[in-house]
Amino acid sequence: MEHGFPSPEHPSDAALLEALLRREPDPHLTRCPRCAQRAEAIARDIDPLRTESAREPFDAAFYRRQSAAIQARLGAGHGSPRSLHSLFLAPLPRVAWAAAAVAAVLAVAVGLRGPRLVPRPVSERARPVAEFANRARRAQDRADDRLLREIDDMLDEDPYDVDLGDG
Amino acid sequence: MATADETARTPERAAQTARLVRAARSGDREAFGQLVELHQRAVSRLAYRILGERDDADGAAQDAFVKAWRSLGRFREECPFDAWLSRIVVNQCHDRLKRARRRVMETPLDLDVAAPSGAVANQLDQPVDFAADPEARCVGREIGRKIAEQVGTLPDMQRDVFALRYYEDRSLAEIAALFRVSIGTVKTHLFRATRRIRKAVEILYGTRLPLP
Repeated sequence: MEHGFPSPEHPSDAALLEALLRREPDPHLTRCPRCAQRAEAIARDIDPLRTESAREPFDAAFYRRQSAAIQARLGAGHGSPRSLHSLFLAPLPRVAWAAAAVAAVLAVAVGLRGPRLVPRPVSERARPVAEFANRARRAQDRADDRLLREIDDMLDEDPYDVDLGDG
Repeated sequence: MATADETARTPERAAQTARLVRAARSGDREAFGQLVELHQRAVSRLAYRILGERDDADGAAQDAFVKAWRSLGRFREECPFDAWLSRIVVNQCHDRLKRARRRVMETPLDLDVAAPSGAVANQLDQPVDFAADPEARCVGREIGRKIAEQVGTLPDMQRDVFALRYYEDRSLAEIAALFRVSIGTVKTHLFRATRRIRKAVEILYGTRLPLP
């Protein structure tokens, strides 16, 4: 008899898979041999340890060889927990990291704003501004003077003073 | 008789692990060697369950231990060492699957190959030799690989809970104790992880999985 997948009575493959992944016993499987068979087929397909012959895929010799290989790799410097990072930075707890970060930010802030933290006299602080304003004013005065002179010159001219010639 | 995995979960074993981790963190390679011996069975089996291939699993397990040694300085004891190590193994396996997939996609398919008789035959007509090539060996368990790829994309806690539950067959209570959370929290993470994997598998294959 063909199994009606999916149907309200029988869970879909996806539902069977989800239960398998959660390792939850599905009461339906105890009642339905076909679904149980299907679930077993899915389990076998996704888990190589499911088949009896592969229950213990590695033997003692494998583990000895693997252990030696790992030690050899560590000896060759493949991994080094004694690096500068791990010696000085990584072991710091998170609180210390946070404190160091705050201290660094404060140091930068003080460095940038330090000279201004000591208030200078108002006259001293205003001096550069005043000098700049004076320079600007002098330049503007010179320009105004030049313009006024040009206007005066124009007004001094006689509009009828045109040489029409004698004849 | 208790298996090595079961004994790995006893309090004495946990205390031994904690002692060795502290020694290894201070640079004691011999202590780390003992940690390897204590956990290599669980690590290798986990890698094998994810990758489905012995040599690949061995490589991933070795890479995981080397990575663990390098990262011990960053290991925080609020997370159990077993779970931390499992996470590294899952990540290593995930990287291997990604690399294998990239290799397959980058390999041009040469359709015309010389047949044993000397005549040129179409490669698609040739029988697949599963023993010859690791990628081909994995074809038989495509769904398992897809699941492993999805596991690699899960948020940390979901991934850890899923790996401990499904790949290492730990009880909900045990996982809850490891992470010092309630069983309800473990169930929630497990539900979210498995639901996400299920949806990904459904998108790929529909409701009926292509089993051999």
